[in-house]
Amino acid sequence: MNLQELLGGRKNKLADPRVARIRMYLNNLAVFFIVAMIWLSLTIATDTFGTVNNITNVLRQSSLWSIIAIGQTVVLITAGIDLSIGSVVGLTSCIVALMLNKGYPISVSVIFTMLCGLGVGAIHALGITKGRLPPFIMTLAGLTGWFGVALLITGAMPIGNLPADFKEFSRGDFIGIPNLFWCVIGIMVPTYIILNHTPLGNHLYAIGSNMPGSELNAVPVTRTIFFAYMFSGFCASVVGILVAARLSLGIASNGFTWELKAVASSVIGGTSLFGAVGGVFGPVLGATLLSTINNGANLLKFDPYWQRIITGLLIVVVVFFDQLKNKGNK
Amino acid sequence: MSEILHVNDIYKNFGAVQALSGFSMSVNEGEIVGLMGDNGAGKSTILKILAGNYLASSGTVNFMGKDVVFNSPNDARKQGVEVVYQDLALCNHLTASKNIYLSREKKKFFFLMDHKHMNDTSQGILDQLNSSARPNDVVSGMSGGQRQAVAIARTRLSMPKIVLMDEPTAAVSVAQVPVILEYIKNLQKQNIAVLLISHRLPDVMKVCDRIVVMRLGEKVCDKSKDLCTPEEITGLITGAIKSA
Repeated sequence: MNLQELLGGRKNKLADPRVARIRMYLNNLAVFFIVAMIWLSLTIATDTFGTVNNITNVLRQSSLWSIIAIGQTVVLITAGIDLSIGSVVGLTSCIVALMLNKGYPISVSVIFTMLCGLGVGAIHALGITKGRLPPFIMTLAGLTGWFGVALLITGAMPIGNLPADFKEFSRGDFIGIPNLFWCVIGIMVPTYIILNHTPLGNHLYAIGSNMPGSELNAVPVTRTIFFAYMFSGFCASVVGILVAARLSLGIASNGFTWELKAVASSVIGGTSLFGAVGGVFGPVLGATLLSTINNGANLLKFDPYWQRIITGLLIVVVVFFDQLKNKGNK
Repeated sequence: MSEILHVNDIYKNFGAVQALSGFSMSVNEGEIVGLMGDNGAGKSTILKILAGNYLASSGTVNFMGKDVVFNSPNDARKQGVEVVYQDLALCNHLTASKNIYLSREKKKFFFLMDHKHMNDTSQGILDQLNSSARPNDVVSGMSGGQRQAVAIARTRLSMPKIVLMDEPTAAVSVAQVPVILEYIKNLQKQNIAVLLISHRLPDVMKVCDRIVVMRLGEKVCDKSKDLCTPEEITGLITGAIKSA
């Protein structure tokens, strides 16, 4: 036996990065085909699904969920979770609506609201890193807490009367693509670069894979976790602004239960709830699948409660398979 | 050989538990020192103080002629202390090169990782270690020996003054042990000191110049390997011999 065999051992197929990459592509391809099949079936089964208006509507809805799903994915990669997303969407929709209502310029209102999203994420990260609270508990507290703040600042009333320019953005398009989808691209591209090509991305995956080991290897764990939760808060604030523009009002219940949509989209798109696995394309496909199911169920006049049951079942099935994959990795 | 590390009268307590009680030792340039002791003797605690993972409750660490306090692993690393941890501290989902470069990623254009440079350098280091692991291989699919090689490869990114190794032969097969011992000897040839923590007396007797034995947070023996017998070391570890 030579030295190479001694220290190297036998080659293991699982070590080959192509295997992991192919798995990810297959997962995304499977979701893509499921979406395509449902679109085809709905186009045949209904008169309205295939219309330009309806498809645009599906894409707009999926755009909102895609953005929060990308934010959630970054958190899930660190083996954390952000359950506050829905409430932060509601809160930030109220903040931007209140500011616009009081006559602040659109740019000032939008930037301040985004800073609020970053601040919310920073508070979650502070509790998780300095307070040593589990992400589940910290962001669960955020779920109820930020909803309460939104109710307080609005007196539980919807805030309307928003400027026409602000509302127009969410309904408009650029070279035939809805503005909301451009926002998805605007979030996707930098996130892809960060995750795959920067040390910060490497640290996010490292923390999700082995947090104590990352600490021993001088990874700036606290700073990286702050980034993850602040990014998720930022994504939620972007969606809060867009949903306020789309509905022409800010209300605390905007984004109600969307944290689950974000988790479901991300997990359906191949992100692991156990950390260290995930990308940016999967969550967008997952969000498109969920918005297609919602839209299709409405067109087919399904009882709306079934939509929630189907989403719940999807999460169970996907997490079950994720668990199996995770056992394989250990 | 000049002294490069001197720890003096180190105390470390975790709440009511006294892990180290006035522990002192030194390591010379290019010297291999074996640190032995039973479970709970305080070996890993002193290693983690030297690696910047823990702060000592009291006592001083003198490294390269200066009193130092390593506040973080990065502090220790910058001064020339590299560590191979007992559990290897690898990230299973990352590739070998991303593990090797973890927290000191090579950058280009200010913020992007230079994948090519990282892969090429990692390949070179793994080749030097005679490992068949490839830089792009994911660690979760590697054999024990390949994982060990990746953990050791981290110590080769810089030119360390001392390498701290915690049970490097514990998780590998019997056939792989000589390769790791040979690597330790190679470090010595490059004038790099090694502090080797191990339960395996034959390994320590084979490569170390000096043996330090700890019991219940205190040093009970510090002498040249040539002056020790395996029976004496075993007696010191178990407490059958009080000190030597």
